[in-house]
Amino acid sequence: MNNFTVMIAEDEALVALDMMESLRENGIDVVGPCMSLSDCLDCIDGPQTIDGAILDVDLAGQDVFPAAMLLKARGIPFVFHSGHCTRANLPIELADVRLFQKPTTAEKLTEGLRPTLN
Amino acid sequence: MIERIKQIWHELLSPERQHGYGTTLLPAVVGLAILILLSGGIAVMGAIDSERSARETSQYTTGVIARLEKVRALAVDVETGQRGYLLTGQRRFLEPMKQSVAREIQLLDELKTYAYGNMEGPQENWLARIDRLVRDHFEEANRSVKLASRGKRVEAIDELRAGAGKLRMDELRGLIDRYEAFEYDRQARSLKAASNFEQIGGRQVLVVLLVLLLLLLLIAYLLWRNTRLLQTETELTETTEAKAQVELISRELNHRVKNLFAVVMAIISMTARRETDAKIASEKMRERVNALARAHQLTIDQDGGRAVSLKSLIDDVVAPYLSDCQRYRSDGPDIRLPQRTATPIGLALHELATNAVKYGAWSQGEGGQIAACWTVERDGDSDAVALVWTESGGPKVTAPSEEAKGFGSQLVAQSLRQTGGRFEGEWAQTGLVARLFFAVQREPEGGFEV
Repeated sequence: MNNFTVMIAEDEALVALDMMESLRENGIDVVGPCMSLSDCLDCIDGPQTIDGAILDVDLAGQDVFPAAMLLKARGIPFVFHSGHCTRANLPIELADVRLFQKPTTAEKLTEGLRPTLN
Repeated sequence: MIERIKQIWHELLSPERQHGYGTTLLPAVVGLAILILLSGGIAVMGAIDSERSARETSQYTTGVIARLEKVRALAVDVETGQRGYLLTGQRRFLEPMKQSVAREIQLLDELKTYAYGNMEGPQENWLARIDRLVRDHFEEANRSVKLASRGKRVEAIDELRAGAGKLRMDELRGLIDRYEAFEYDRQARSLKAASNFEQIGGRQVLVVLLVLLLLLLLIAYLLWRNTRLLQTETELTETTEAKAQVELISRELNHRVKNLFAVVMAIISMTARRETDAKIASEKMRERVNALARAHQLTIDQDGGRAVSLKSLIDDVVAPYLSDCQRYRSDGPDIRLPQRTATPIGLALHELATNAVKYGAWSQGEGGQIAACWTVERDGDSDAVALVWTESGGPKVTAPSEEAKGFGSQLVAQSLRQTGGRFEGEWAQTGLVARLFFAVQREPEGGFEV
């Protein structure tokens, strides 16, 4: 698990902080937290390589789906982490992405990413 | 058949179809009622007409019978005059006899004119026969009077005795009787017809009145029903709207609760990660969860959970750490923060307040003061808030090294990022000056976006 970099998209500051710390404890580098959709898109196009992503579906009232599509197009694995989004709300193109209900611990989310990371 | 009618009736008046049929049913019923009224009118006209014809028949019958009776009486007068003269030889019997005959013939002419056009069956024959008999009678009377006046009185009486006159009189009486009976019968028939018509007409009027009454009742019922349906529809719409509102609120509430759980979990795990001492860790967790709860409570207390004023948010966060010897003031224009902004700002302010108590202006018990002042500038469709948290009168402070920046300063920085703003900390000689910049979406018409 050397030098894996995970992008975090989360608009709740405390949750984002906790997740970052948890991932770092597990030896994973973190990009973010991205608190808006434009943050997300900037991060994906940023200088840092991203190996995976944990995406909150609702970022300050905006859907994260455009960023998810971009990640999918680039073959970067990711999971959704949402408080109120159900599988039925996901666009058809993203229907096979794993969806975790809030609150889910950072460890669980990482586990969710791990198979796809490997 | 009855079942079918019942079914049609139910279909016509069933609530689901009311709006479809209510408009067609009424004209149909009104049309039917008009038809019944027309038929009633025709029947009543018929009754009046038949009554008039009965009255006419009756008058005519009376006229015919009165004349026939007169003819009968005059015939007797003629007979009396003839016999009187034959028996007494006095000429004074002759004048009434002649007059009676003249009157009789006049009457019969009258009767012919009167009955003309009203003859049916045997009447014409009877009248002709009566006329013949009256004339024969007159001739016979004249002859016997002439015989008697020429002195052949006995011969004349003998002729009278022979009985030809009596037979003629009997025939006349019989004819008149039959004629009268016939007229009476005709009158009776016409009266009966009139009374029948009257009955039918009367019944028809009753039916018409009944139909009118039913029609009025039906119209009243349909009007009442329409009003009721409209009412029910309005109530239904209101209920549906209320239900939708409740669903919306419950969805938002569910979202908030899940979010709060996530934040509480984060507070717990982050605090636990930093504090090795369980007691201190639980104390900090409690304080932070409490700050979260207070920020949340404020949004519930104000504006039905939608927004909270910045001043009350700051005052409420600071309130637990205030004591008589600590000075504090907050000042700035009135601005309301939506829930999604109020919670992170509340948490950031809480971190600033606890930091002040631990290391800053309020750490020494006396003399320290904190001023929280803010300005609001309009920036497009949002308000840019610049809040300055100034500590003074506390111990001398220095900027912490990057490594030493604790959870608190990270939390403040990230919380500000969450609101699309930023945090600037200046560790001046006199104390910490913290600048919080964040944007508040201008309240659109109809409240904050959920």
